[in-house]
Amino acid sequence: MPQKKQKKKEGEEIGFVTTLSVPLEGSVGLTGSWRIFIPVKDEEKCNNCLLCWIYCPEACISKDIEINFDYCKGCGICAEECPRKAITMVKEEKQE
Amino acid sequence: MTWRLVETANHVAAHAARLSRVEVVSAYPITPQTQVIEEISRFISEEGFDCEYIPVESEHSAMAAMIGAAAAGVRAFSATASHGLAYMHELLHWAAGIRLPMVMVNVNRAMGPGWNIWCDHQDTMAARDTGWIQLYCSSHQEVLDSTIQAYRISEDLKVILPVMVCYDAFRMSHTYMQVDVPEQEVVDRFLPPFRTLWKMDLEHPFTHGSVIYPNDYEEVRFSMEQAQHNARKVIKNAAEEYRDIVGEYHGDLIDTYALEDAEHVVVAVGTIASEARVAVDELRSSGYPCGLIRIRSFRPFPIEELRDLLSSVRTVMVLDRAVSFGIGGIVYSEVKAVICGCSDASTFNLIAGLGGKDVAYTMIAEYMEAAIKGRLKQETSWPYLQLTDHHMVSKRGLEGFWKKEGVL
Repeated sequence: MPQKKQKKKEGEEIGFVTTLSVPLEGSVGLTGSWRIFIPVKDEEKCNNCLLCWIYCPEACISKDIEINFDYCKGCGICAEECPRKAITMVKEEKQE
Repeated sequence: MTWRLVETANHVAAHAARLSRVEVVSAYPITPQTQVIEEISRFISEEGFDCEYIPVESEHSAMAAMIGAAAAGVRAFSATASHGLAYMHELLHWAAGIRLPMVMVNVNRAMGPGWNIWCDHQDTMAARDTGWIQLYCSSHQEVLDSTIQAYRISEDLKVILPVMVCYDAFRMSHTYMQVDVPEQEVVDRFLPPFRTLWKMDLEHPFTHGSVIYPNDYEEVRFSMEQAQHNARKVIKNAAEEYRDIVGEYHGDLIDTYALEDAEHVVVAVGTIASEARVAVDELRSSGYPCGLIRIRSFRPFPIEELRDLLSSVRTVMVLDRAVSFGIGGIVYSEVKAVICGCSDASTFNLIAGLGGKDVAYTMIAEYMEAAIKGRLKQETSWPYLQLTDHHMVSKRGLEGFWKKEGVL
């Protein structure tokens, strides 16, 4: 979002116009709509090591290992990193 | 208050960085800049200079590390030249665009090919549109003083733009001159600790320089233009305050010589201006009322100063040490554009001293006299050009190939 601190008066005002984005949930919309593959967790295999929580680039896996599907893009990093293969990526059937 | 030093401009630039209390230096060695950073690392290893030196693997990384340092809220310094500057070009835009104060010294060296380590201004003039402030020096003392002043200018809250301090390869970088070095406490009175308008902060996280849509982008660029405009006043104030505290003065946006009653004016940048000073004396002794304007601040460009001083003169001769291929001298184009409509002067352009070629005051005087007498065309001339058979290297080297390929 652009910050506009400057007024029209030349040379007097301190500040500058720039572009800053502040981290905010959902600031670029529901990125979950980009998903093709969906992570499915096997409760039996999971031992709550939290590697998926650490690695999720969108921070949409909670510490209780609940996945927020509003923002999960289906990148598959959690499945790749899971040492116990407790997460598998499954082709998602889109609901119209 | 000061102590006297006889040193190369490169070592003088290192002293300026030390006196400015820079906290991070990230640089990659390149001829003719190498001694700047060698001397800084010696200050760190042998003289207890408290500074983090980052020996990066390229100039692109040097500027990236500068950006990181300034964004973390510390005073950063680097030095480069020629291809090194070209290699960091993308990041020059970044440093200026996200508004980070920092100072870099650039030793003006020709661009290859042909591979040439000697002086001309092509490297920095090609970086003039990045948003950086550019100051060009013509003496060692000015290198020292301008570099210290550059931090004041860069960190002024009405500016907050990076500054490039430029000086000529070998003519300055490797020659020894006497310099008066102010004591640290004197510099400290002139240059307060680092300040800026933003830095990275864990409590207020944000991404700076992120996507911006067409509706808002122009405003960001206009703001940079406005900062350059503000810098005009700030450069003047810095120069004057420096004179009050330290005692040295080299002009502000421009430096002038024998201008009072001048009807014919030479405009030049860097050491050629010192040569032109001798030419002006020579011409005056022959009865021509000549004067000299040395452009110190190329960005921001001294628009008002040039309009004011050149509005009533008869001849303007611009000496260029760089070419914008397809139009001619860069400084010439800009001077002409600026005085257009304000001055009836005849304008002339000499492109000379490329790739370290020697420029003599006798040539400047000769061409100036020809211009005054109306014997020179009002266009770009290359006074030292001599295309002989000796220069047709490509023909000599390629004749066999051309025959084989049927080119001849």
